[in-house]
Amino acid sequence: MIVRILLVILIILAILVVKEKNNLHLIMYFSIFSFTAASVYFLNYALDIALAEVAVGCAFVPLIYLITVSKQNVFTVLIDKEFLHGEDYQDNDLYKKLVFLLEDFCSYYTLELKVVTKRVRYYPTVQGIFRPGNIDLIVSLDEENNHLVITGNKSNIMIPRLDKMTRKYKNIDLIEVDEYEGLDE
Amino acid sequence: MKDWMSRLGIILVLAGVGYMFITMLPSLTAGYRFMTYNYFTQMTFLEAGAENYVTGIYLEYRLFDSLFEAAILFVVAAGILFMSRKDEERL
Amino acid sequence: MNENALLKIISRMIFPFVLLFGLYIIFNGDLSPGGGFQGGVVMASSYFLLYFINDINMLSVKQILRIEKVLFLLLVLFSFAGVLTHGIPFRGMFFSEILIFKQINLMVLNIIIGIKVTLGIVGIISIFLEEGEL
Repeated sequence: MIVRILLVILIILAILVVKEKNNLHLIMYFSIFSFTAASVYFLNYALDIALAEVAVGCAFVPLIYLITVSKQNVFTVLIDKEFLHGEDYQDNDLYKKLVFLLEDFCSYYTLELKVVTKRVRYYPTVQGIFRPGNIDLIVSLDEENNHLVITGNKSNIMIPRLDKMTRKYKNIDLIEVDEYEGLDE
Repeated sequence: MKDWMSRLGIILVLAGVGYMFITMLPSLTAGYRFMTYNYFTQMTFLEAGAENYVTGIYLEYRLFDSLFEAAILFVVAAGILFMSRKDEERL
Repeated sequence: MNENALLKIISRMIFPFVLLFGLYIIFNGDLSPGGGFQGGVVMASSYFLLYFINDINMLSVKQILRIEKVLFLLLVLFSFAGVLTHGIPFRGMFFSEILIFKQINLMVLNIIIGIKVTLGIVGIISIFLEEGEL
């Protein structure tokens, strides 16, 4: 009776693993799946397999996934073309602040900064850019209030850390955006 | 139109095979269920000296499988080490 | 206090107990559920409790692979010694069949496999963490 309930929970967890978009939540769902499978093994009197499944599926495999997800060394920043129009954009006060902030941030977390100025062709909206272009940040200028608007991906680990650093600056806003999974063309 | 018809046909065939398999499965294994289980539970302590018959199986009756499994672990570690080197002159 | 202090203190306190539990699973492989593979993974996870949270690196990857080569050779020799002599040293050479030789045989195999699995998993994740700098 309990075994059947656990088997139904297994199916629900498997569907959740496939549909989830945030990377860190995925690791937790996988770990819970492995633990439920181990309890199903235990209730069917297969004791050695339950021990091995707990040790591997809750300690070893999520550790490897966690290291892979959080070891992304190159920090890619996309600067919008409207921000760079004109010849004197380097004298802009906001631009200097932005460059100072980014270099400080990247040298503190030992990332490599890469600045890109071209947009990817297929996804014209903001949300669709993060996955195919492998871009971490998008910088755009709000000209009425003289604000810098930075958008980042919600499931990126670096974005909350950048959020802490941008709180000191009044003219720079950070927006977090969900990741967009589109059709493969 | 032919695309969804072929997919529907494949799904129906697979569902039919799966239904036959599930309903016939208990009767296929009825007579053979306990032969190896009885042998291993009665003879493991006499031949291998272990009270836990799983240990007796993978260390006495099927020792070579454990040998090759240990070899797999070793080859995996060496392979990952080879793939992740960052030298200036790549092999 | 620092935010990481809680994790560091607890990981340093728990490390010897998890190690002891792993050794217990390996040594009682022929009595209770467990054995070489299961105990090896538990011991590897205890090492990573210390390495992943603090920055204490106790073994380098080259030394790990060297010890693993020796252990694999030992496993092959030990298991072939049983096959080539029809199992006579492990079933009692001069006496009738005695239980203690069979138990020694099982325990030595379990220990070798346990240490080998530990070093293998520690090696794999150390490479992941250091990213190829030897």
